[in-house]
Amino acid sequence: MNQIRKIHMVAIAAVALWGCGKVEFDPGIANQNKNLVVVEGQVTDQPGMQFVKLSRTASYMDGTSPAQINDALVTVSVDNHTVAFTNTAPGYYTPPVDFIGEVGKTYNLSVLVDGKTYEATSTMHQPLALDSVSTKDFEYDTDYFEIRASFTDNPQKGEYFMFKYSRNGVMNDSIASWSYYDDLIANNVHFIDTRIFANIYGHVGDTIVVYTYSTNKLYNTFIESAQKSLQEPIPFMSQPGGEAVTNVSNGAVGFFLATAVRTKETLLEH
Amino acid sequence: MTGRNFLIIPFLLLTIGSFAQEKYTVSGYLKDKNSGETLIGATVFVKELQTGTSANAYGFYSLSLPKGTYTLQYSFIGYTPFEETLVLNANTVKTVELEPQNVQLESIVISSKKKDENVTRTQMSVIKMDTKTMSTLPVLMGESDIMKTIQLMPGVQAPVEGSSGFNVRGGSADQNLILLDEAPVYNATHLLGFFSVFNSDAIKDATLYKGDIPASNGGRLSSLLDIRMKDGNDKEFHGSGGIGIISSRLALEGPLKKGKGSFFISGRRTYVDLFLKLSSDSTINKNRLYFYDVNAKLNYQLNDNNRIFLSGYYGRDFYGYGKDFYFGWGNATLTARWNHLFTSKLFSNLTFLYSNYGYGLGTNSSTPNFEWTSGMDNLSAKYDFTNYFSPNSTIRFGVQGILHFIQPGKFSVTDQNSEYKVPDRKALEYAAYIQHELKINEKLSVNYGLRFSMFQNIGTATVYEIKNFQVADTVHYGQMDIYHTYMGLEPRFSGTYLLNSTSSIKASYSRTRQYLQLASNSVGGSPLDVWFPASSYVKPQISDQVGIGYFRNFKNNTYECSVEGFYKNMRNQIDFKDNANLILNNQMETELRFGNAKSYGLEVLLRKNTGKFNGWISYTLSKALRDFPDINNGKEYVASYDHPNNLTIVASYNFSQRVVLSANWVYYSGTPVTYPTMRYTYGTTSLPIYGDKNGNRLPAYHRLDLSLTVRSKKKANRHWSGEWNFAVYNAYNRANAYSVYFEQDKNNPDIMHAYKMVMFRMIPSITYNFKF
Repeated sequence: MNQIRKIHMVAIAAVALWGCGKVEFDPGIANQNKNLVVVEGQVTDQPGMQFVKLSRTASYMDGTSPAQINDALVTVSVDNHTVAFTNTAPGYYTPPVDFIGEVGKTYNLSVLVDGKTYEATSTMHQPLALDSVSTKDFEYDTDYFEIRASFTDNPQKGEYFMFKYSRNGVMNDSIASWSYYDDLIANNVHFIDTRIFANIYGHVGDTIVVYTYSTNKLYNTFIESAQKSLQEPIPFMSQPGGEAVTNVSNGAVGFFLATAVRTKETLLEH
Repeated sequence: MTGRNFLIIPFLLLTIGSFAQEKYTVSGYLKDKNSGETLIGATVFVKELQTGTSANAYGFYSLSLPKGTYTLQYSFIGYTPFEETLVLNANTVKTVELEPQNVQLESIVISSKKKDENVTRTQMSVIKMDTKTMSTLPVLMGESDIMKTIQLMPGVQAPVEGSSGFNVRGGSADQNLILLDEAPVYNATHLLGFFSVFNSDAIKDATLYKGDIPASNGGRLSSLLDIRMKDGNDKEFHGSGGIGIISSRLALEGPLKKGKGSFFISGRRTYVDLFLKLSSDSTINKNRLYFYDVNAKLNYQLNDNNRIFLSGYYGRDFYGYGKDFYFGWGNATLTARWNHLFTSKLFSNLTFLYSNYGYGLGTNSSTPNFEWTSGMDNLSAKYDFTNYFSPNSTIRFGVQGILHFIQPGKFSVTDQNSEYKVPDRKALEYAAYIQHELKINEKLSVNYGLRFSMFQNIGTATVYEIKNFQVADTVHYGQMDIYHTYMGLEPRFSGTYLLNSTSSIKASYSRTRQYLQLASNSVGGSPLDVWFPASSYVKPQISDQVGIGYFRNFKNNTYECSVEGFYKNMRNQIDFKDNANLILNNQMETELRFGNAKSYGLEVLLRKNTGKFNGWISYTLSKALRDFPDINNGKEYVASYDHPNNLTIVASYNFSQRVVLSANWVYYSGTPVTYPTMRYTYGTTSLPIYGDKNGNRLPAYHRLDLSLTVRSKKKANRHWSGEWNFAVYNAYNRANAYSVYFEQDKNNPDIMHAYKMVMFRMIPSITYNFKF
């Protein structure tokens, strides 16, 4: 939520006064990898955006690459209909091209790896369409831009959305750059020229496509906790930690999301 | 012996004693001769009977003695003792003004306690802070701070570096009852915790009770910090103040009517924001960040038997960014008191209290704009009585009623008819207590009491019935409907056995109950504080603490030594689930998890009170553990403020009456932290998977602070005196970690870097303090 970020700005401003800094050190974390299965999957209502990525965890500090899983049996079921996903790239599984999700339907993912089944369920919620998207110079760095949008939140309460963007056709898939939003405290509000990305790198004339994804409460928490683990800690705010947020069963981590996706395009300009 | 008999017998002894001999009472107030300020804790000693008493929080004393002629000795450390002969053949009012000592180098004292008080006092686990000590200690940014001084004492720990919050004997920060002139202060820090709300200019007396909390107070499990504001000089007008690197302050005091009443007012404000405006960088010059606070007090003596007080505090923090964003928060308290003497033995104090904490933030830059507010109000009335039966027996009793009103959060969107409001929470809290201080013989004295507390949730309210951490049902209650009640007894006991005139052993037991708690998973507190009450779902927290101690003074009280051990068991403790949403959540109870906690430890204090070289060494060995079935997979974990080893050395050397050099050295075990053990890739990001909660520790913390105070020369007929204070915080520039941060390598996403986040490196400061 933007207001929380602004409170963080308060802390950052206060801390800046005392000149806090960071010093690299060895925390002495031993190799403790349990080779957990990692699932990253999505079913959307747009063609060509369905996939499941499978990998394994790695020890936190040992510098090894997480292993890809290529020999899994991956299926997605909906309305008593099961679709098999096939391994088309290392750790990457896709369904037949005509498989497209529908809003309101519930999708059940099943992954069989080494004799163990991992399952997840997700319902596709209503999409959020943006009326318009515009750009503006980022106040503190001329190489960066703000992305702003106008839209009306749906009348339904309890909705969760995520925003991503691509620049010149390349999707930014770094969680730190994603935005998320819910309507729990301000439903059906009309937002006008509201900032949805604070500082994205680019050049004037670059094509930006903003993607809106309908999500859910657990996914919102997943993104929130993931972003918190990536941010420099702020004194007096809660510290990261705790169990990984996931909707995948049987000890796996990651997330499977059924999501309605909408896009809006603009060009970077001053 | 049953508990009831135990209580009755001392009363019988008192009754029998009172008929045995004709008695009269000498009573009055003990005051500072120059200012008229009452002297809390000053003593009256009857030489012939080898007994005495001490002045209460209003400077009042009362001694009932058999008819006769006595030599009364009035004394208070830092003041010239006064002795006089009194022929006691009728009840006598005797108000005595003690003269502050013309401080000689050899007799410089760092404590305002009476001599050997630590040995003879029945209570244990009490820290009495002195503002004179505070003024020479090196502190962060040169801001003298009562709460940071308290952190230098055994059993008290700072949650994170620089914080003015504190944890006492393994208790969480919201388990400290902080009173300013008896009004509770709910968020006692400014500027995100770096400074306390207590302006040292306004403080007359501060006492921290770490375990043996008097029965007159309750509502928090772990400690009571009782801060009393100055009454003001009732003889002549004076002022004092200071100019520091981040703030300046000014205090004025004087008589309303000479010898009858006085006023005191003090204020301070930070001015970093004024310098920020000078910057040409728009990221800096648009920031507004400051706090200010005001303390004010009036008192007036209507006649010998009646005195009234009115005091208050108002403080605000403000952060803003241009016209785009604003965020303000702060406390307000108001205390109205009426001291009344029913008889020369029966002292009473009727108090009305109001306190408030609230915050508000909003935007003006986007469409729509929003405003978010939250607040809590507390209205209270209490009536306290003290009956001084005899020099050996004092009974205190009283009642209190509190109305709590909490508005956890309201979020409104401008011009769009959209408002979200977390339902208000209202509750009533009542208490009645009785406490008896009894000196059984020359060796043994006891202090025992009983507090009865009751807590009622009242409507209008929307209450969620929660099962398996999910809302199962919703019930609405109407205006003033009482929909849940908790009550319980809180026995308190302490005893002292004098081994000889300079050593004693003490023991204590106390039960405390807490009905309000803070919804915060922040380590050191944040402005977004929301308190929530006990309810049908949230049981009141209950603590049982036992303590035992050995106290020994050496060389005519030049050195004090104490060793205390404690064990504290805390039931119905509250923690929050991972990734809990505690803000603007109208079903916040679903985020709570319940369990038990315990702490135990050993505290050693060695203190040198007088002489050119003085100070103290404080060491605490302790453990604070939490056991929650639904957190950390049910495995016990250490509290986030657990620091098993905590060593503090405080030393001052007085080169002359004008020059004082002080130093602190602080060491404590690293703060518990939860480290990641594995990582996985999602999108293009490496995400952590964490190990056991608080299963690791940051590197150990230590720092050295130095301070040099240079006072102006004293000259006759000069009404202005000043002193310069030069200080260095973290003098050897240690990079202490307040947290740990992991970052993905920019070139290889599989490589993680670990960083210690460092808050304060070496920080010099300079402050000029003055009096006129």
